[in-house]
Amino acid sequence: MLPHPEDVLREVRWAMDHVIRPALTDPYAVEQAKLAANLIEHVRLRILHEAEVLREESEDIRTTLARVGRAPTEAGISLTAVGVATSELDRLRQENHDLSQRLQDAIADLEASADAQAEDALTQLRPLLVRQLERQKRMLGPGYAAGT
Amino acid sequence: MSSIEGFADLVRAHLANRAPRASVHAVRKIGGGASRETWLVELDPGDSGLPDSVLLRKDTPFEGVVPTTLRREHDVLVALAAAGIRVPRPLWYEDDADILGAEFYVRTGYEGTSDQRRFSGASAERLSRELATALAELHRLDPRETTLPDGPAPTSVTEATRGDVERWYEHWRATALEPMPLLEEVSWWLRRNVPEVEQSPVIVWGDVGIANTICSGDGRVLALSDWELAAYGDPMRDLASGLWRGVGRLAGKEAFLEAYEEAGGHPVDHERLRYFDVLMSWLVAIFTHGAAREGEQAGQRSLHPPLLSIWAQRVNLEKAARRIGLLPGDRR
Repeated sequence: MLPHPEDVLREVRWAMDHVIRPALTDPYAVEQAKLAANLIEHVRLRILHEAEVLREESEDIRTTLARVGRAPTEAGISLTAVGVATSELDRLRQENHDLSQRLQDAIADLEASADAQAEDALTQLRPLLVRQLERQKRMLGPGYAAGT
Repeated sequence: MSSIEGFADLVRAHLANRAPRASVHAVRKIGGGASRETWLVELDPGDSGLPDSVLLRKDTPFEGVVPTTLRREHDVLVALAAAGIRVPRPLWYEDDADILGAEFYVRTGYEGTSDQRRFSGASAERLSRELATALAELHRLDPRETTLPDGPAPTSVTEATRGDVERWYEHWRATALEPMPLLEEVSWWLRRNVPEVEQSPVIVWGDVGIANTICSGDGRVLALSDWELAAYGDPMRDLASGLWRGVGRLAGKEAFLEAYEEAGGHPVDHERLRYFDVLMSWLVAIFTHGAAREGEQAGQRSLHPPLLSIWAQRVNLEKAARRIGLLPGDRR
């Protein structure tokens, strides 16, 4: 039985931090090694959380858009999301991409309207933008906390 | 042979051709910038007329995060150097991309540092004052006499800011790899809140910070570098940019702003500073969003693009969201 990918990545990151980086002398190589370690941790968190985050986020976008009268129709979701995806994760990614695009377009449209009804809808959409950011943080890892 | 050694050999060959009386001691990559590559070339200049060290600036093998051309950056330096602003002096521009894999230019090098962490106490206070003074000097230039490669200046600061926001918004929409609804919302906030200022625009550096400043160890400003974001605009943009990059930590935010005014800079407007603070975070989020797009040149890849597109983009979106009140806290 093969080890779990997230466990493999944890070990690779440990080797990067405790064996490889300490042995490097070139400053650029040290910097790249630190980035590599952070990227490895990011990938590990993606493996653990991405599917769950995508499902939650897509449902949140769908529900919130419906509440402001901008419910996406199935016809608006790309074929890849519906049936031609190579994996479940691909399907979730494409669906989330399409829904985020609809959300972005709705914001642009409502902001351009600048009337009271549009502002009311935007008031309901803005907290969704914050929730999107907070959800994505679950997958970002130490590179985000460091601000780099 | 490593890719860096291979590149160093190409640089030696170019300089042997360009300045045969000089000999190259060392070539090394410096800096952490993501928009261009910077290489320090240490020389024995002989009687070539070159200084002891020169800097070579070239485009990265992947698409740089700031979508302005290297040629423009060079031409801005030429214009500012001619106006007496403390910038690195360009020596030559090479548009033959076969020599080093991309166009490049060579400019004077300096013995100095761009690491803000090296300054504290008296040297930090001096550096804060010197940077503020350098900005005041820049903002005193008359754009009718010192023009940027983009052509004549807009008629007002407001028009310049509005044009900038629209230009970068269109750039983002045209190049976006994925939807970013939060970035869309911040864009509209910027559009709605462009400061109304009845004043002619000045030349702004656009990316003020010690990381883009060559300094002596005792806190003197030797040269202001990295002019990719230079534009006509609001002088408050440069002050906000500097504070955004942390120059306020040298000697305090108020000391920096007071030094700017005392050096003949424009009166500080805190509301406009707040606006341009949001603009800075927004711009960096746009640039770093595009960083994931990457070309490949053998042996010269970097991990900077994924770093920028994954983390730096979101850090800056969060900053902007807090400033405009979408997220609680830190709204100044």
